Amino acid sequence: MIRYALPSFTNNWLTLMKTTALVSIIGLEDIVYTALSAGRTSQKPFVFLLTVLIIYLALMAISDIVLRLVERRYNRGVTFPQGRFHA
Amino acid sequence: MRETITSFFQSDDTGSFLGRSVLIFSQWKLFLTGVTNTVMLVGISLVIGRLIAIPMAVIRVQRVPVLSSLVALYVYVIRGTPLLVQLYFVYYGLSQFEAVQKSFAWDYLREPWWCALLTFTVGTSAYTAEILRGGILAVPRGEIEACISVGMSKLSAYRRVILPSAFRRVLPAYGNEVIFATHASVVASTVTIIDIVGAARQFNNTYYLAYEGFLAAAVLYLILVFLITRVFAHLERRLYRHLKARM
Repeated sequence: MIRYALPSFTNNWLTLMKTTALVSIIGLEDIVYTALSAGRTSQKPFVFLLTVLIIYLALMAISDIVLRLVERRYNRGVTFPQGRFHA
Repeated sequence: MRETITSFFQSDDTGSFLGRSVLIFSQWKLFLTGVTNTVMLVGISLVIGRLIAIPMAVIRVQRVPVLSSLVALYVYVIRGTPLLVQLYFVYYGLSQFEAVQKSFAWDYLREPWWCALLTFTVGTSAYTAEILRGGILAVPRGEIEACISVGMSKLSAYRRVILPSAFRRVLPAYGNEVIFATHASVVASTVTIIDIVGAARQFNNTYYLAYEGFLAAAVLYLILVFLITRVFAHLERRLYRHLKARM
């Protein structure tokens, strides 16, 4: 069961993680909120927002790798059809 | 606390819920602006995004040497970061440089509307490229062999067989993307654009009626998404006619 559910779960996890950025709009102090106010004070919004982008990218990459490992573990012993020819 | 809230809703001087909701209809122009902005932003970005997505998907499937990895990186970065941060990055971030402020692009980049359009277009192009790539990869081998057997060039095979077949195959997934793009467009209201949520915010600022305003916004989004699903249901009926069992 978990083997079939994992790809959708991965998708859901990644989407949810990106959605968390929205909490900054209602004033919760997450990285986006902090970066925006830091950018305002220092007049260097580009640096801070780029950092946030990289942090999110890193978080996504880590979850991606971990979830892929989990997936591989659950797929142990399952054989897949060979890759197909394409034009 | 709870008592204060209930008494607030029941007390006569603030009017009934219905009475306060009527205010929304008196402000229909504000909400119309909101709907127009949302529809324009989402619609234009979807059209341009799709035009960009087609060559990107083909490049990925064909594994064009350098370009393919560039497209893969682009898609990974765009899909790996929140749309809100991308929008802030374009709207607040780029203005840090004087070179940007002096260039011709500044006429557009200082306008929140164009920033939002740029961000949404880039975002939807990455998602659509992935959807299309899946669609092209799912084209049956027989269809491609048929193209080769009648001597079609790769270009005409793509134009006449592979892409139309892929478009039809990805229709449900693409419908999902259109709905997600509509939902995602709410972040436009954070950079002062009057989209549907922006209208609700302004309504709240003027009349201090958060509940009624945002409820109206929710209903408007519900209507938009309902219309989108109807359009796609219609398209699916038309394009999948051949798959229906014959009587």
